[in-house]
Amino acid sequence: MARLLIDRGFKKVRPLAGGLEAWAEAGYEVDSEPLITITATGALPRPPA
Amino acid sequence: MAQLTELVILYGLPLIFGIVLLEQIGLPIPAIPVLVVAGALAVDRDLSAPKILGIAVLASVLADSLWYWLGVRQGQRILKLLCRISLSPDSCVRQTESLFERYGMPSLLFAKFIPGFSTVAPPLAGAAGAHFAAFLLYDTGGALLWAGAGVGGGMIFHRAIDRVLAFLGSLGGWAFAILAIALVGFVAAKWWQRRRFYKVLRMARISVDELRELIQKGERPVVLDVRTPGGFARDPRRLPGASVMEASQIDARVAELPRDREIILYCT
Repeated sequence: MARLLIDRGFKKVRPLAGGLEAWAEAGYEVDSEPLITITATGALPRPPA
Repeated sequence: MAQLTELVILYGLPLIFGIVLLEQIGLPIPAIPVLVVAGALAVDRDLSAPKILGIAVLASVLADSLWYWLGVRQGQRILKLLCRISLSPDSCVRQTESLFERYGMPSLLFAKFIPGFSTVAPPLAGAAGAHFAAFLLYDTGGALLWAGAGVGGGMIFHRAIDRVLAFLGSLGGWAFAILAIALVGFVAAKWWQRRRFYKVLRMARISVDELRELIQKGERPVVLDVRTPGGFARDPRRLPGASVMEASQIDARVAELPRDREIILYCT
């Protein structure tokens, strides 16, 4: 994914070492409320309960 | 000290073989100074330079073949094992591989001159499925260049090295203390070099602490959650302020991304 962005001309792209788990393990804040996203097909995912 | 020189002359070849073998297996042992001294002794005393070179190349290729074979047998796992020692496990395999991918087998020719890469290159060649004959060819070439540089350097600077040896000889017991300190210094320098090398390998990634610092400094990096919907379903947590973007959406949404800010990607 980082490679894809670099190929598209983005210069400062860095993956996060350890990802979400490392972030959460370090005790840093995370957002946990459900998120509404518009997918590539334009379909809306299920709204938050 | 003169006795030590005699010892090197007497047991020179097995000594060189052992030291080079252990160093190439990965231990922080100073093989190059030994080759340099042996090269100097080859000029002034009764030691054969071609023999020194031959035995050093043999030991080096033997140790590298062991790593190559482990690479063939264990594939990617051997790299993960290598990485677990000093690197962040998920990224380092790919990044070290890319170094090897960029230069291919010829990277074995100069691998010994790059701290850290020396031990990584042979198992990479094995894991990449390189033929043993090709590996042997390039590895022998690399070993010849490396050992040749040491022995050749010793032969060129033999006068200076002789003076150092004579000076150490005049110090008697102190010489051993100086050598011991030099050895400790060498191991420390090697350790530091290795650390620096691994740091370069790791630099393309950002650590959680660095990202946290970036956000706190108000640099507003764009944080992208690039997990698949499956991964997202398993763990709905996100980094604060993260946008969600899958790899398949990249072309459709590339315009949303600012080009002047740093982009940080993460997955599980």
